[in-house]
Amino acid sequence: MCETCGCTPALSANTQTVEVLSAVFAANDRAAAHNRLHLGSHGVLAVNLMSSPGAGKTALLEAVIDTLGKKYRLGVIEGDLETENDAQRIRAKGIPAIQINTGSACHLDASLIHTAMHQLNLDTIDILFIENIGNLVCPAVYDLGQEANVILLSVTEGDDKPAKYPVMFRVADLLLVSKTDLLPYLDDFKVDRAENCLRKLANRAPIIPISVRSGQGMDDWLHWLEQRYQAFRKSCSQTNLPHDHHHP
Amino acid sequence: MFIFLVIFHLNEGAIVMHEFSVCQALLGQLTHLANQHPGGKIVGILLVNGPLSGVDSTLLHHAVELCKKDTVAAEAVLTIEDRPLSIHCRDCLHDNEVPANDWTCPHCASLATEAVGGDALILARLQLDFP
Ligand SMILES: Nc1nc2c(ncn2[C@@H]2O[C@H](COP(=O)(O)OP(=O)(O)O)[C@@H](O)[C@H]2O)c(=O)[nH]1
Ligand SMILES: [Mg+2]
Ligand SMILES: [Zn+2]
Ligand SMILES: [Zn+2]
Ligand SMILES: [Zn+2]
Ligand SMILES: [Zn+2]
Repeated sequence: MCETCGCTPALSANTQTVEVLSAVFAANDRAAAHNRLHLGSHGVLAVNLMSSPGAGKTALLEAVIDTLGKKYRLGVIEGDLETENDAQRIRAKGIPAIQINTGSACHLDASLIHTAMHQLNLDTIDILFIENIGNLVCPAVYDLGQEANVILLSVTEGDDKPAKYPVMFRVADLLLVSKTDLLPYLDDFKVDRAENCLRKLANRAPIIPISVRSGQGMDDWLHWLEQRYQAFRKSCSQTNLPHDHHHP
Repeated sequence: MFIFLVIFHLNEGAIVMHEFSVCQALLGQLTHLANQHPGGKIVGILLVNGPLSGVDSTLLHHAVELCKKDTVAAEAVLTIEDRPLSIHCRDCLHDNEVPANDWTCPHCASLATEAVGGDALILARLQLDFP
């Protein structure tokens, strides 16, 4: 359109129209595919944890480490800057953790994960957790190469969050309704309503109410995790990927 | 410096940061395409956006206007078309446009639906001038 009147000037004879039709995130998707290949060839299950700031991602990781840390070799890529020492909290438990310094970024992307991944010895890791940046919008649209998205929704946030943030909640492979020990003090959060909102996004992901304080739901969540791990390992051995990934 | 200005104007820090990063991805793609068409100058860009892309069209427009100086898109006119979410129903096989937070098939009320449009930010078309 022309600046002065908003009309559309006729194309000059030497103007060429090029149909592109490619996703603006295509480069990220390619990088994520590379990560997936890499993780698959090492048999590492990658789980992407997403939520609002403070929903309990790091606390959940600590609880997982305390219960599964002896059975599985765990690793963490820490992207959340909510508290400076999230990675230190993990390392204090003897688990390798890479802190990504995102500055003021609002999401992690596949190339950040790639760099962090290569700082870990993937041959010594079974399950790799990625703690994404606390944000209920854009982290969801960046594929990182993960096998599953786990989204935390704390009961202090309101049960209509899935309806307000469809971009995020539609990609959930598991929804953890966190901090349920606080439910007695919050009469306006109904797990059923959160579930309803999620189902309306055509998302049939399981929902587990959970609390790291009371321990509610921990068994179900760990069971889900172990099942995903077994299924993933099975698919890895079936495809039998040779490990010769190379960098573009 | 200009980033502060925008944050100040729109008062949505994190989201503005996001559209700047999307803008960088777009400019990368445009540079690649410009190299494939040597001698051409990009004069028009058409993006198609939808409610599930995680990108706000207005903010992206601002970001591109601020970032395009000294790039292959410096003289390009950007158009962003907003499309609604469209879903395909696996039960009745109809396609319909729906609100982003209610994917219920308007035809048969099924929730066995999947997004077939409006779920991504697409670089649809470029116009290049060959002087
Ligand atoms: N009551 C209660 N508080 C929790 C629970 N999980 C985490 N928190 C608290 O919520 C705050 C934020 O937790 P954190 O794990 O740092 O959240 P993150 O930002 O998502 O990593 C901390 O003060 C935690 O102690 C829970 O199950 N119940
Ligand atoms: Mg944290
Ligand atoms: Zn490798
Ligand atoms: Zn690599
Ligand atoms: Zn972002
Ligand atoms: Zn239908």
